[in-house]
Amino acid sequence: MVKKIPSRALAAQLAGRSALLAIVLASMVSGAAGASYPAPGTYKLQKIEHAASGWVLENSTWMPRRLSSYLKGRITLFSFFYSTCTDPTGCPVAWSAFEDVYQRVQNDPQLRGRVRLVFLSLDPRVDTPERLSLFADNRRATQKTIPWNFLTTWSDSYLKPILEDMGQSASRELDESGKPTAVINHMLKVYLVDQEGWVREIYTTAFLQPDVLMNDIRTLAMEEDKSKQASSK
Amino acid sequence: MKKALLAAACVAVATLGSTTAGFGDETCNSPFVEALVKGQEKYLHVWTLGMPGVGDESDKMVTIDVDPASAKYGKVIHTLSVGGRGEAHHLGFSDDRRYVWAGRLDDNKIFIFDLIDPTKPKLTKVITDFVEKTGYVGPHTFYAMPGRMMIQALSNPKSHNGETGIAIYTNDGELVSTHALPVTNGGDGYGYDIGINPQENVLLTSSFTGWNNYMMDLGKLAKDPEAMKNFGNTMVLWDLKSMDPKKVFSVPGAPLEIRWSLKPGDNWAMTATALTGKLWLIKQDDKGEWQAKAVADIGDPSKLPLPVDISIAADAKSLWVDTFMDGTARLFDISNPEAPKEVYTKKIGNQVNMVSQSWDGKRVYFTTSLLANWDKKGAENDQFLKAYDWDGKQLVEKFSIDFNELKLGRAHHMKFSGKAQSAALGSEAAVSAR
Repeated sequence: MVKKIPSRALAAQLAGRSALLAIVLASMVSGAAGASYPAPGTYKLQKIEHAASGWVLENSTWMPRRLSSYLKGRITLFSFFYSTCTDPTGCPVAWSAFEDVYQRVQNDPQLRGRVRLVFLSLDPRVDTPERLSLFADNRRATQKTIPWNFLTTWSDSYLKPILEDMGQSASRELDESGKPTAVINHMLKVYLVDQEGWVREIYTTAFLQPDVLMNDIRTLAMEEDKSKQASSK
Repeated sequence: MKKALLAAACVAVATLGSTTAGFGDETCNSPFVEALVKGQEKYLHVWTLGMPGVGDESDKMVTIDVDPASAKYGKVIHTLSVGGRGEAHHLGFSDDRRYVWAGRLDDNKIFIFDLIDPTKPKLTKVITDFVEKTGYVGPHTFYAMPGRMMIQALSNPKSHNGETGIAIYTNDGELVSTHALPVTNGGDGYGYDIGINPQENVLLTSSFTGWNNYMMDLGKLAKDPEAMKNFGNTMVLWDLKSMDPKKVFSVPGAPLEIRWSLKPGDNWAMTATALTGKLWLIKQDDKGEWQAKAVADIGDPSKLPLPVDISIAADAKSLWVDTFMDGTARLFDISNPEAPKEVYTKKIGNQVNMVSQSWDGKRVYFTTSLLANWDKKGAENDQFLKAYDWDGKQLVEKFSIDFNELKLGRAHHMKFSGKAQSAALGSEAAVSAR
């Protein structure tokens, strides 16, 4: 069974909020106007790999938690970012997609309370817990229905094993004299993680379409529902 | 701050425009490979087959400086032998272009090289259990998916014929899933190349032949009518998300390399059939149904020129086609993909197989080896890399590297690298001057 996804629905939904964003996102998804995607629940998302663990910080420098505690128990969208990133194919694209999923999940009673969004900084020296709390503060009201966590680490040495586990290469751009700059080159990757901490899909710019993200989230939710039904019999 | 970041996001995404189409690379790689080399390529990596009695006799990665501004322009700057000969064949970048995967069709080993310093590729992993894990033989095409590597195999360990499938690995080299090529609804089970169009959620596969044939001497094979029946005659259109085959096209004569048009808004792909010498177009009809049709002859098909590699221009206006038997490169005008026209030919050598062009189409590179047992013999066994400039009218040779003379082996698949200008997070170089 193949379902045509209304590719401009996202732009229409956002039109009331931000005309500019709507126009921008319309241009993003218009390339998918003719694409057909399978309906949620009719396809299998493979178990690709276990999501990373490692120590991360959220609200305090003194209270580290395992990253895995943010990547289990809910369907999670996870990505790396850094607050000073301006690479047009990097963090801003992920931010837009997450924002859209954030809104859609809030408005979907079947998904509300089952999805989490997580950003982990690539620049722990700049992105301290205090700085990231500025992002998180505006999400406090929806912490139960769709938490959005902004995480960092103590240093690059704590970040490095997480990057390696998630297969996320990232490098600091060098200037002409070979000295590191503030620019961190990284390929945008967004990870869809299931309730058990398995990475089930990875998206890059070419595939980061909110309609596709929502289809995959619903597919995992339906899979979980079936599993619960089976175990209750 | 949040508003500022969101505003930045809007502006940044706006600048993406049609580039979200995702097609990329110069010009034949997976659309999921990033960091395209759109300017001058700096290095060329050639996956090279070892030859008995030649040098160290081992398969190796040969790196060549191709930057005209470099003092080492046109010189081999690095070689890395991997040990043994296993029918080295094709390469494929990981999605982040940090790594390149290299396969061998006979012993089924897969080598993963780290290219963070492209002047010195470093071997980081060897997969030795491809057959045991996947049930397939002959890892041929390495095609990046986000966080994964899709591998099209050519054969299987039971019959060693062409019935095969696709294996998907993590970038760390762990098997995720396998997907058999269809053998029903017109499918013949053969595999060769992979081509993905993310915007259409479609995957195309083509079909070649199995281990029994690709390891056989070409002269002997050509005289074996039964063996000659064992070539693929199909292409398959898949739903990429579900990995379900949706439609099988009849494309007689071993359709090989698949090239999607890179032009924004285009939704068509082209392939060349090795045994029947034709260009085929895969495109949606007026009703949106995907169709395949022959659109041009390549040379004189009755003379079996054996079209092999093809390379499409970034603007989708032209296509290079190499014909192995006469060692000739042929340029087709495909501005009307329904009616390609051959507009230029040049004999490159006694034999020619792979062709790679720069993103701007101004530089074109050729190598010679097809398969160890299919290459020509004796004095006709040219083994070289030749670099040309394309001035819009003719190929102008810039340099040539004789792999026989340098005792390197058989020159096969090529990949470009740019200059390294960054340092991995957590490395000393990334923090030393902060």
